[in-house]
Amino acid sequence: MKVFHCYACGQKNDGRVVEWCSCVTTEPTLVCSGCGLCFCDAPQQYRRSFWQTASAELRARRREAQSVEGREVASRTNDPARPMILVVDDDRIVHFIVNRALSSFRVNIVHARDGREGLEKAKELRPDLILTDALLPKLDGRELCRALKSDPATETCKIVVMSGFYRGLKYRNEALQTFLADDYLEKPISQKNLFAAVTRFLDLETRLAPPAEKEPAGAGSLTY
Amino acid sequence: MHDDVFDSNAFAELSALAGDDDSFLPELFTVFVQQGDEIIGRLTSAAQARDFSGFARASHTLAGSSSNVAAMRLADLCRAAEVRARQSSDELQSWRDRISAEYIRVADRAKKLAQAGEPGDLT
Repeated sequence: MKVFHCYACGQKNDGRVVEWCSCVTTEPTLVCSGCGLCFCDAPQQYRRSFWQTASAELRARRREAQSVEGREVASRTNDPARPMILVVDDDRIVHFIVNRALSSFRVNIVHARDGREGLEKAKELRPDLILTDALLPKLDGRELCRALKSDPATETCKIVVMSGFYRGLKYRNEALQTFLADDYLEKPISQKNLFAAVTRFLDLETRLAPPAEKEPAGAGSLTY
Repeated sequence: MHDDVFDSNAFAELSALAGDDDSFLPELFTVFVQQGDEIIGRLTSAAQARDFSGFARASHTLAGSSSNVAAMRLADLCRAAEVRARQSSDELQSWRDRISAEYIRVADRAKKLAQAGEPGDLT
């Protein structure tokens, strides 16, 4: 059995593999047998080294987890204390940035890659905040917004429409007035705008961790 | 510092998003290249099939991801191609070639940035 040095507590142990860790990573991951912390926030080289030397069985489980639709969602909905953010975009870069940039916030982040999937997940999970691209495959992000705002079950979801194509006051006003978005952001995503949207629409005082309680991020294992 | 591939101001914004996460930029650029290679393939197929809608969508996605990694020249090129494709302009192959040439330059730099120890080149 391989022995690891926990990057967090320094204990030497063989670790234990769990299906989903507290960071809601999207694959089986290793947690320290001593402190229980997962290795998602460990240095990239550490994680790479782990998977390079992982057993065939563990690698098979990882592949299986990556291929099964819906597991990600299920894993991210079991902590109701955390506000949930649904990110709807067909650009993986946006998912990566949001996941990583918000790693210090105690939020659950759920991902959808087209408008229809976004609509289904929004109705199923009723996230607190939705960040959606305007132009999406299968269902336009602005129509997604209007559909959710017109449904009593989801009308309270805060929705931010993002676009790098429709820029300027005209499109902002259209998004807010016609499609009933709560805010409109132009891409590329900036730290200032992203944090402003999150802090504006989520109840920070009671639901987000103070900076000192920064939690490990699971974004390093974000998969599609 | 100005760069002919990455916009320095946009790169500074990206670095702000990364914060003290040393693996943010290398991993981001890895994802960018993985996705970018796929999109170039989609652009090629769409240009050959004269699929204006598919070409516009692929251009749109690459424009967004390029701007999010501070590759503004590539992003501008993709936006222009997206507009032309939506107008059913019969120049898809030409736009595909121009995008591909610029993408190769960006991807080459991105791969270097994705290697550990080089993320600070522009900052």
